[in-house]
Amino acid sequence: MKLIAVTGAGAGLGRHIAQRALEQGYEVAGFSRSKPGKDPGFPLTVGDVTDHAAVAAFFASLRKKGASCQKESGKEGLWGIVNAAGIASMNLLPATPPATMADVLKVNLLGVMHCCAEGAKLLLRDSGRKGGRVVNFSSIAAPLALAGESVYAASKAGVETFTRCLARELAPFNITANVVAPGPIATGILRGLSQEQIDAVVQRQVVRRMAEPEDVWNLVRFLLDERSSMISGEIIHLGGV
Amino acid sequence: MISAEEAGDFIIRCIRAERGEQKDCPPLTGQSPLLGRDAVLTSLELVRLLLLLEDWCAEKGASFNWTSDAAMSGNRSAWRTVESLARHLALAQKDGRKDER
Repeated sequence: MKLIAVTGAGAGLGRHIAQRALEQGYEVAGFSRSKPGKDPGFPLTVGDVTDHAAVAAFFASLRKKGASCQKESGKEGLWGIVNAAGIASMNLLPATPPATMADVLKVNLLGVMHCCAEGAKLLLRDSGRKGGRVVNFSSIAAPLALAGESVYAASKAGVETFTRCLARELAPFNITANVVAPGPIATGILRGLSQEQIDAVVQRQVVRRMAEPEDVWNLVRFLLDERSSMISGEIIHLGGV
Repeated sequence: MISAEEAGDFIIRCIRAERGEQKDCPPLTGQSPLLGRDAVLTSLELVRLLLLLEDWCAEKGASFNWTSDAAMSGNRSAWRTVESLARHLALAQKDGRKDER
């Protein structure tokens, strides 16, 4: 059974991905800022992706757990990392508080870097000879350069370039790294946007409908699959731009 | 505490195990380069070596932090040669002990 680590697994898209991965037969380890009220059905570690020590401890715990259970249960160790943790700030730049700018960059970009750096070390150990998968998240806000999303879009553009570089570093180990960049999805991250604002973005997509969490999972599932081994360093825009 | 000699021996054993018996390879010494054109390991093998070192240190109750701004510098990297890596490792353990006091 392949282990997938999912950040942002306490709510929204991350939780949907974690639950669907579990249903598809993956072992799931979630990481989230807060514990959800209801049992998510998979182990969830509470921690902040901006806290490097917390991220390192999370992956160290997965390593210990993997080492102790692999022999008897046929578990395969860490196979994939899905970095779904993210925050958004929709605001005109002059009106954006500096603390918000820092938070968005820290969670969306630095957090992904922390998780990829610590997670990659474990992937190299567990899947060094077999391979592995990294799936990061961007948004169509980056290629569309949406007004009012400069800080958020910049953080996601950073994730895209970071992932393309990472893909080259991990390629010799048969580990792929890709980015899923969806349009608006009905999750908490859209809180604060009016329906008109959301519709305006959707109308700029090639496929003019709002994506469902399941649309995202369909793509993530493919990227996690062994059959996607020739796809790496790619930014896949869900909905099309 | 891990000595530089002990670390150097371990590093050479790991490189031998990684490369296998290769007739046309120069003999491994403390000056064998780990980075650059003449490196005795590929970048992939170097990463594997660093992971092995991390495990080896952990077994000995020590820690090995291989993050460094100078990691890939041809002049300043602690990973330049077998000897520089071994010395870096021994020094890190010493510094760690100092910090504990």
